[in-house]
Amino acid sequence: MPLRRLSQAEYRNTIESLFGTGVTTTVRFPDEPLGPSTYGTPTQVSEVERDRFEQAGDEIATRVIASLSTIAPCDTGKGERACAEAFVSGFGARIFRRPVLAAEKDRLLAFYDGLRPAPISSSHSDAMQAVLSAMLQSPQFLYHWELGAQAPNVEGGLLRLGGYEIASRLSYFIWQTMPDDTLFMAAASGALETADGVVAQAERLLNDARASRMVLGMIGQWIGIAGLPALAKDSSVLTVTDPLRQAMNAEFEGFAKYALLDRGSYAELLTAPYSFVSAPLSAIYGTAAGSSTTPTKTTLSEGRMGIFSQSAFLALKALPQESSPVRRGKLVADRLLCREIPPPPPGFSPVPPPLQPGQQTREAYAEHSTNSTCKACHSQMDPLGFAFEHFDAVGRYRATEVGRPIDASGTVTDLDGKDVSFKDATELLPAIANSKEGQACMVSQVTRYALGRALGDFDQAALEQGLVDFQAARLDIRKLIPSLAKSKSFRYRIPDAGEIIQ
Amino acid sequence: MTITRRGLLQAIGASGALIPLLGTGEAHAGTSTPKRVLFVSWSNGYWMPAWRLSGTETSFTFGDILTPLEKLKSKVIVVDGLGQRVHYEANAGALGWGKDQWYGGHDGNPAVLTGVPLSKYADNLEQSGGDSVDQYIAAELAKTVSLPFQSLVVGPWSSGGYGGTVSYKGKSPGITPESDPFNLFKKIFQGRALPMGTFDKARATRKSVLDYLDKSLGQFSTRMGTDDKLRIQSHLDSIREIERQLGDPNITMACTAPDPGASFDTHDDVSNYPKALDLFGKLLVASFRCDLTRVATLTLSDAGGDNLVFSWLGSDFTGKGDEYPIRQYHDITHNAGKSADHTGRKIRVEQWFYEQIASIASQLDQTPEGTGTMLDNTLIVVTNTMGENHDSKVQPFVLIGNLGGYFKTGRSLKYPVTNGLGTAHNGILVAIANAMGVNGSAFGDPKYNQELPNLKA
Repeated sequence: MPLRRLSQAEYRNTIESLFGTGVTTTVRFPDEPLGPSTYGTPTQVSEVERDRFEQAGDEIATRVIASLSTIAPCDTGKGERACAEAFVSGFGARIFRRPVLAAEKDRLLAFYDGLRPAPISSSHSDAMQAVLSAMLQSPQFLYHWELGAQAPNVEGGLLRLGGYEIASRLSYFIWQTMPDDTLFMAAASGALETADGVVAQAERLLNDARASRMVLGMIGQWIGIAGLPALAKDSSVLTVTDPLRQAMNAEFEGFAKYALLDRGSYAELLTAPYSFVSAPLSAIYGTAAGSSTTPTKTTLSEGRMGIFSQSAFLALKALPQESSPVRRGKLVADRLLCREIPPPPPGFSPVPPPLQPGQQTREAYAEHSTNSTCKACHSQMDPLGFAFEHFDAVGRYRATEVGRPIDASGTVTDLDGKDVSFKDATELLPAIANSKEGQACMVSQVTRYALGRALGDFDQAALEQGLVDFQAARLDIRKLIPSLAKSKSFRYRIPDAGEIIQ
Repeated sequence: MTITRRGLLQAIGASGALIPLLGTGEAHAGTSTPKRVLFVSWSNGYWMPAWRLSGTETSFTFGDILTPLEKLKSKVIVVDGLGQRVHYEANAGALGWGKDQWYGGHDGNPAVLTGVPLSKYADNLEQSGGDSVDQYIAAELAKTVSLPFQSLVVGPWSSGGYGGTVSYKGKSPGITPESDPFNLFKKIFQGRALPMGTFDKARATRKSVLDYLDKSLGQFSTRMGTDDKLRIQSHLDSIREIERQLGDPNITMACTAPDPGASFDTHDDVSNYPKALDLFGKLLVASFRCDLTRVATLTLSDAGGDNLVFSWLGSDFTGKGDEYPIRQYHDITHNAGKSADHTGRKIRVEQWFYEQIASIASQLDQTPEGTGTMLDNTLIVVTNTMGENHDSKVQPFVLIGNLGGYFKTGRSLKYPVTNGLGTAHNGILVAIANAMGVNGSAFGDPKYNQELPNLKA
């Protein structure tokens, strides 16, 4: 798999794990391309990234150097050089996320030694600051290295990952940050060399509050939650305020965490009758939003079920004035059914024609089902999006549009081999949640998120076993994740072309 | 060391207007006047009827979009009828595209300056098929001339990755443009104002860090596979480039660094975009004038330009869009043609971009050099990753300036378009390389490595 570097989020979380909550950098990193279907993290460090990592490393080192004795205590009675040595192999192992090799230690100490005498004449503190900054710019820190420090374990043409590699895979997958002390100890003891040992740690990580980063990271990418701060609608529809945006985000986070981690239920993610609402959401939910200022678990009516009937998805996947059956349907096809929709052809206009007086939104998309060029792809998206037509550009319920009843019916083709008709989302979503195709897609999504790469033949066994375990656990992702963690896909990797494996 | 570096920057900023620079490449280059090239590109194409000219090859009238070039008319060649033939002739399906069909539009980035189709399309993480011509020229020049910077790749409000760049080194996701002009200022001018022979501790420490990283990266990649080795090599190249730039200056030359002025937000507040672009222009002109580099690439937007709201063009350019919550560049582009107002906005935006380019060209044209001006030895290549119809089948080019008289300027040229697809645009890239004194026919797709006819003087 391609060498990846830490994403911005991983970088910031890792810095906090190393130096304490609140330690961060003011450096702005370049925007990262998100791999929408592999959840891939960025691979490259070119000049601008190098520059930003240098600035951030310098800034963080400057900031923490005064408290270095707290972060990495040292008996100064033994001399400054001894402290440098202790730091490099002690705290250094946390920065590198594995023991520091002898050659690496020698190189770091040679670097330290070079700073002390003339002409540079650094003090111990200045030299340590430079060492720290350099370690934060080191490849061992910046990359998701999966070439063990030691000789690789080759088994049947595959490479079995070592304990520290597994520890990092687990912690970045579930916590979006570096391993904690317990994981490091498990790596050191050899506990992560066995499937059972990996499962035990995966379960422990899942029971920690940081596991929410996995859920919010994955589902957040589905619905494009990062776009929420810029969400705006035509003023004739609704003026979207900051309190409303915050309430929408709180609803998304509260619900996704509860459904997937507290309840452990993929089915509830799609079909739960409840949500987590607060007063500002009355703009969308009416009185059902209640008067609480904090997100409160509440049963919703209006045919709302699951995360795809909630404000964030409905408002983000819509146009400024109208709903967007295409955007909503594409997301359902892509994320819930793993059906790849080819991109639009050259020369297309992505803008739907304006609604004519008396025309319903759905009717504006009629050409997609009659024009054969459009139809090939849109027949796979639009009907899935029509299911949500009871919800307008911001997600408010509507029984009628332009004085006529809403038609939210449609058919999802070839769901587990059958064409399934639905009257609206309340029939579509349970059909997907109950289908093998939907469940297998969720297994695939989680696996891609765990591995940060596209899947291949090598991963079929993990996907199949994952689906078996997922179904046996009544679609509990808290059981799916350990199942994936013990799979060969997670614990082994295929050697890269040209890689030296002896 | 951070504090020291900041202190140094403040010192430069405070009196930056008249600092003699050290360590420029002039002495390395001998006495001939250097030739430089600046590529300017952005996305979203043009409203082509307003970009096109009327008249004949030598007697023509600019359309609305190009009117800002009126004063420079005798130094311009407008090239119509080229297209990304390599892109459209490639087997799209084989490269991971869903069907045997290109999206066209925003996938023009990897081909516009490389002259080869992209090598991989996956999840918006596209990779080019080879060097872009700016990087090719830069690398070739570096074989004979040692300059502080082989090239500068910059762009306000730009981003890395998909659609965010047109510069590539080999098969790669592309060089992320520097989006902060103050960072660029630091990079190219910091440290060049130190008196000769001064020992600078911060600089020496920084060199030690880079040396350590250089060795670490080398060791880190020893067992890696081929592709990962290339990734680490790109990281290593960026370290070596800085190490090289920090090489002890031993040559003095009088050259004035521009004063960047007070800093401003270059990331979130897009109303600062004109100021940022203006500063980038000044810094690039200065880096040419001081011979710090001879190749630069300026990207004016990322793939969609979704963050670009042209509030400075008036109230008609703010407020809600037709398709997006805000009337931003992508929205303006998609909706051109819908009404006279919509089309008018698209034309005005493109015209504004050309006003900024004309400003850079004028700065060069107002600086005497040899028997003419800097513009006579500098070529500005203006293009776009798209043409019309959201694709790059016909892709516009404008050349401003000259490279020591290589081109016959003051002309409007049209090349044949067949079945909607323009003449391979490679020919103009080959010509630019040749004009820069680099072997153009070794560049890009061998099928199209002939210089475009009728450009030369």
